[in-house]
Parts: sequence; C-alpha cells; structure tokens
Amino acid sequence: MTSTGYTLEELLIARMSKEFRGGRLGVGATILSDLSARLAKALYVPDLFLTTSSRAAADPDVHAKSLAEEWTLDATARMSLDWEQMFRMIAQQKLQIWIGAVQIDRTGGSNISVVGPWEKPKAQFVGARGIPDDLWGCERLNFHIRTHTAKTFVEKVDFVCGFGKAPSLGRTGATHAAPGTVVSDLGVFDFGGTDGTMRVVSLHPGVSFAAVQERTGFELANPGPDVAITAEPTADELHVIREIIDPLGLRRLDSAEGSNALTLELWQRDLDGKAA
Amino acid sequence: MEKLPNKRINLDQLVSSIGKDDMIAFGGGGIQRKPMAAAAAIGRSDLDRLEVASFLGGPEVDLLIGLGKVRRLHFAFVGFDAFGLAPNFRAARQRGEIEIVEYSEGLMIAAYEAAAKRLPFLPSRFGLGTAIVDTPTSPFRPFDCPLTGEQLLAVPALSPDVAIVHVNEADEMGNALIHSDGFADLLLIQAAKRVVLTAERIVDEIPSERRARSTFVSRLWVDSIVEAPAGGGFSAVFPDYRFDLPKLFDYQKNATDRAWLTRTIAEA
Repeated sequence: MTSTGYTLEELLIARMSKEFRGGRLGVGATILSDLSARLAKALYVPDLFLTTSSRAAADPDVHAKSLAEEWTLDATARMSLDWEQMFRMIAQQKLQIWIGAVQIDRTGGSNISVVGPWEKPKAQFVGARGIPDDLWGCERLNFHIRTHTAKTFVEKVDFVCGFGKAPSLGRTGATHAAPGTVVSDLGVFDFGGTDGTMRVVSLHPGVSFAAVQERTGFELANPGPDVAITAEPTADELHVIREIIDPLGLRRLDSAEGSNALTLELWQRDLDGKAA
Repeated sequence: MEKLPNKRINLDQLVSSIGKDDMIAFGGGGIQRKPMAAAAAIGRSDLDRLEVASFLGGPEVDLLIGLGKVRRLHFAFVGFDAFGLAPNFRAARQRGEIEIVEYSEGLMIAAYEAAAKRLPFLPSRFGLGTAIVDTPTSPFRPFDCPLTGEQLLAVPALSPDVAIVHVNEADEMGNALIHSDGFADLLLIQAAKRVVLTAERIVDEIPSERRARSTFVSRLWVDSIVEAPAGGGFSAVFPDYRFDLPKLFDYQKNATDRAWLTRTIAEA
C-alpha cells in the first residue's frame, strides 16, 4: 500500500476493467487482468461472460479469485464450454482478452513463444498458444505487461505470434484484431501513433515520460507536459477488489512482490479457506 | 449371447502395447488432468525417441523430455500455467535437442478435427499472417479458397497412434466421464488410431444421473482402460484433488537433474 491508499495492482485492475463491453467473453490471461474482468462484471458490464482457468465452469457469477478455480466457480457456472465451441465463439469475434507477452513491438506485434532464433532459442517460453487465433477472434488484442523493460518493448518481436500491422494477406474474408490497449507498471499505451505505432495514453501517478522512454526499446513520441494521468481506482472499485473478487490478495502475485514463497503461502491460505 | 467386453489393462500392458514408431498423444492441459501415472510408466520403459503430441503440454511432456525420450513434439503450449515454465522443455529447446512442430490452439484443434473426420486437412483462418505458418517444420499450407478466393490455411490431419487421456471414472466397457475442463480431449479421442484411458476409478456402471456439465466419452472410441488412482500426479483432477503446489515447485527446481527424475518416477 502506498500513501495514496491503493496499490499499483489495484490501479491496474481498475484501468483494465474499462475495456470490456457486454455480451461477449471477458478473459484475462494474467492474474490482474482476470481480476479486471471480474471487476467489470461486478460494476460495469453485468452480462460479461467470464471464463477463467476452467472452461468446465464457464459463465459464472462474480466470485473471489482462487488458485483452484474449478472448485470455487463450480457453484454458479452456467455451462461447460468445450474448446470447439469456444473457438467458434472466437471465430465470430465474441472474444475480449488481455494477454501477457514476452515481447511487444512498436507496431503491436506480440510474442510469447521464443526469444532468439526459433530453431535454437536463447530463451524458450510457452509456445504461441492462442495468440495466432485470438488475432482473428476479436476487435482488439489488449496486453498487460507486468514489468515494463526495454527487453519487453522491442523494435521488432523475434517471433510473430500476433501481428500488429498486418502483413500482405491477399484477400481475406474476415477482419483481424488491431493491437489495442497496453497496460504496464508505468502507463497506458495504444497504437494510435504515426503509422500505427505505440504512443502514450496516460502515465501512472508519479511516473515521468523520461522513465518510460528509458525502459522502452524504441522511441516514443513525447506526449508533453499535459499528458493524462491514469485515473485512480474509486472507493467502489477498491471495495470490490479487496472484499469481493480478491480477499485472498492473489493480485500480489502479479506484482514485483511475486515469488514462489508468496505463491505457496497464498496457496496454503486458499486451501485452509476451503476447509473453513 | 456374446460376453460384454472387458477393456481393463494395467500400466505395464499399456506400455508394452506402444510400438517404437508410434506417435503418443496426451490429454489434459497445463497442470490440469495430466496422465502422469502413464507418463511415468512410459518413462520407466525402454521406449525411446518418441514422437509426442500434447495440445497444452505440462509435466507429462516435460518428464519425458527430461528423460531424453522425446525426439519430436507437436504442441500449442508447454508450461505449468500460472506457475512457471516447463524446465526440461525449455532446456532441451535451448540446447536445440528436440524437433518441434509448433501449432496454435485453434490449429491443433483443426488438425485433430480433420483426423477425427478422416479428412486430409481442414481449412482455417486462425494463424494466418503469423510466424506459426513459416517455421521450418510448419505443416500448414496457405491456399486460395476455391469458393471465395480468400486466403486460408490448410491444416493437415494429426492422427496419433495412441491417445492417453486421464478421466475421473470409467466402466469396463470404456464409457467414461471427465468432470473438469475437457480441453481438446474429446476430439483427440476421435482423432487417434487407438485410445487408452487412465481412470481415477473403474466403476460397475456410469451412473445415469450425473453432473450436467461433465463430458461423456463413449466406449465406441475407447480401446483400453487402466485404473490409476491419483493418476494425475501433482496436476489437478477436479473434483478429486487440487494440484499439489509444493510438489510442482519441487519438480521445477530439480527436474533437469536426470538422476532426481529417474528416482522420482521409480517411486511414482
């Protein structure tokens, strides 16, 4: 907690919650963005369709986040969403998603697979997973980057899991996602800059543009002294985050404080809570 | 009248039924409902230089890579979900030791669906314009749709020789229930040439009243069943048990040590 009465994580959850619209899937692939979908459903978008780590418990009511979602969401889940149906929903652009990325580039290309050459990577991550699909399944791909560094924000991604500026594709029968909003620990960005490049939308309270530029691997346009400051979370938002969707404090895992020891501590608390 | 078939075998029989050139596919996803008892049994065997497929690979794939048994891997993801990366997959890739075929989720679903329908390929828009199409081992081929002229990807069928899927309960005829997320398992079961289920329990009869959201697997798809209580290892098998985080972290810390891994599967 800072002297402002809220944490950075709470500010990020509140900001990310503003990107969801109703009548579609609301998915967050990071802990904070998952919480932002729950916050959006609790306060702003009651008909948001949540899916979390278990599609067997899809479209549940708003619940406290747990490290064992299948158990906690089971009580109110409306359906088991099989993956074939889920990908048909994606094919019909019913997806809204926040994803993490290993690299994101100047025009919104994204990578979660490998750093270095694909044949023999310097660093192997998890594989392309759903990004090449999500690209064809929503209006915008939104990114939550926990730690803003010049290694994450790069001139060009090493492996294009999702493209920003579309390559030449010939005739296509569908529209692909545009790179949407990026939220990091420093600020909020989008791709409305010159030629679809990343630009500053707002800086978090206390963050200077110089600090952002220093931790970004390509040149950003200076937004000047009148740059917007990211809105602080409201009292209502803080209440929902702390009392309803994350009483266990799992948001701490998606912060600089995250560690195996903290994960084990919260996992044990989660188990004990189940017993209580 | 014919006797009802009894498809029950044990883990040793499962292992000895696998041919040396067979492609083995595993069900589950990440750290959920992974057939760990079966993977450990394969790990203890002489089987080697395996071709493996896993839609969302987790510790089952990592274990076999760590034992040096995987030659080629088809996957859309390998990792431990929110709890970190798969240590042996990462190490083997960074040493350039295993051959991989990288899919996206949508493309692997299309590949299994093509196989389930016994078609040579299915068209997909997923993946178009990304690097997944251009890897040296990419099986995907762009083509112009003969009806609309638009660009699509041809996704070749992926038909594993044997699929191994962990379920909650099965009967001796091979009917089974999965209570947790089904991932691509029902498609995989229909895509594979042979299907072996490992089950937490073998029951006399699948109850006619059951959870509305569970996935039913028909005996028509199933060749063999193995009773494997706690067969998901440290992965989660809803509603039977949650994932075991201390064991998962212990694995991540030690699993690149071959001797540790060999001892661990000897005790599994």
